[in-house]
Amino acid sequence: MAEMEYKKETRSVEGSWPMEHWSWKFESIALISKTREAFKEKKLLGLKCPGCGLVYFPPKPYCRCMSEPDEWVEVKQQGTITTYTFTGAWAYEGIKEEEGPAGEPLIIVGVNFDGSDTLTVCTLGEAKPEEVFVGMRVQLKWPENIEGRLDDIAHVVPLRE
Amino acid sequence: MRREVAIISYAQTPYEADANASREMQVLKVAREALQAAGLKQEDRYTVVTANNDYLDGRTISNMRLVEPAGAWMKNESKAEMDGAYAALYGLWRILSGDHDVALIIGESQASVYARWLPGIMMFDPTFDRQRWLLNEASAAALQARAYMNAFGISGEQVAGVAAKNLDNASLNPLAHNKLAGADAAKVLGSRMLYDPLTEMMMAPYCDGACAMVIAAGELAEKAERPVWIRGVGFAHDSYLTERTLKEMNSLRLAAEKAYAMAGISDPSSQVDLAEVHENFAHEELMAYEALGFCGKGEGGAFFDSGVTRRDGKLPVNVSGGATGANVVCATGLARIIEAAMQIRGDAEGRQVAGVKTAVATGQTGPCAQESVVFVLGGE
Repeated sequence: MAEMEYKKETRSVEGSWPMEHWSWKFESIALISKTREAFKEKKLLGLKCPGCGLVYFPPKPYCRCMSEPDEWVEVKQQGTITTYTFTGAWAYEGIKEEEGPAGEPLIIVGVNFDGSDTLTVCTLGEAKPEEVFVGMRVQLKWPENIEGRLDDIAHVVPLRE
Repeated sequence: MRREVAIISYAQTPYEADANASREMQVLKVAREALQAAGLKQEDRYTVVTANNDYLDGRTISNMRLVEPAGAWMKNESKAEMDGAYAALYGLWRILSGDHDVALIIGESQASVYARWLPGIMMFDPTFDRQRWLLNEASAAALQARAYMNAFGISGEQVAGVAAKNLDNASLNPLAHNKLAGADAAKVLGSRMLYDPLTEMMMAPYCDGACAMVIAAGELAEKAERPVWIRGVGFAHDSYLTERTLKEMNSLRLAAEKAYAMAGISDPSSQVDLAEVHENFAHEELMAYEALGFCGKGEGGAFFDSGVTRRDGKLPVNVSGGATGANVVCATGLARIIEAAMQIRGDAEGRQVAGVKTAVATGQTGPCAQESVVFVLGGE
């Protein structure tokens, strides 16, 4: 293929591109913000639909029944793994897995937290891939410093009862 | 159906990792070839629907520069920013409305010009899932595969077997990009692990290409040589992947039920001769057997093991190699319809299956087959 012509100078414009939080004008931002604030009190807040009773966690302002979920309900910090996958320290096309040292598998789980009707995609710690199973009970593992960030609820571990 | 509508011609580029041609020239090639085969000229009356994507093409209104190559100059053209099977659906509707008798349908993209893994991330919920960087097309598919396999006791060998079948089938398709004659499950399982249980050879690799199809009603359809009639069509959309069951393809099931009802099919496993299924990952084909009613719920693995869906079986699936053989985003589902039509017409050359009278083709858009289209096609 012919080479592209690259110019030595390019035009510069000032601006910002908020990669982390984006600037979606979307009700979910306000809902997620409220949820993140609740993390500081170690609470998971979901939204319940007045039309069909589904509880969304993470919260969402619209339901498939076309009602607007508006009732805040506390979702339990224990839940059940409904599906999972794991991967090693490799690159999927351009994506470098950043979590976990080389060779240590990253376990991604779909968790149905008790009291919610949706999946939350988290990572599972304190378990080996061969120990994970669908139906496994897990609990949220809060970080030492809770800052009200989505990462506060990124990890679950096997439930020790 | 309100009017009898037939597929009267089609054209496909070879599917390649890095085509030595622009998207415009690939579209021009297939559009011209399909129109010529239908006996049409640019100045004749027809409508155009293209399937392409602003994000993948790196520009807004990505069909803007396709007006001329797509044969749409001074005609009514619009685009479906979804799988090409949707473009076929919209073209069908224009004909059913009675306003048009002929529609040119085109699907295209070039994976060599965009970061292949990025669109698969950008489709996820931006306010939560995308912030966590855990979901991409492969990890999401792995979550779906696990949910399905766990629910019904489907083995990794069965999933790998589907990929091996499609890679072997693709070896007979000169247009396919990803092919391996004699592939077996062990080879597929031994390829690089992406996200357990999915290995690299179970994933349909993105590539470059374009395809086009002319559908028509009225005089042109009746006079066409070996028309392939659209007997039934259905489509349905499910929720975002974290808000629905992942162990079944309910949008595909619903779409199939509607298409079968329209086509008068009550027992798909005996009335359908061949299927072309849009499977982005190998396990999806097993799930599709169930959703399309070829076997019962949870029986996809055993159904595959019976050999029915091999190219010498009673109901061959993805004789072309399917999406595993070539996966051009926005064209893959349309290519399934074209391949199914080729089988009915007897145009499939080295991959031709004998005696195909009724065939099913599917297309999908969205993570884990959120949105599904089903076409039922028939010969004379």
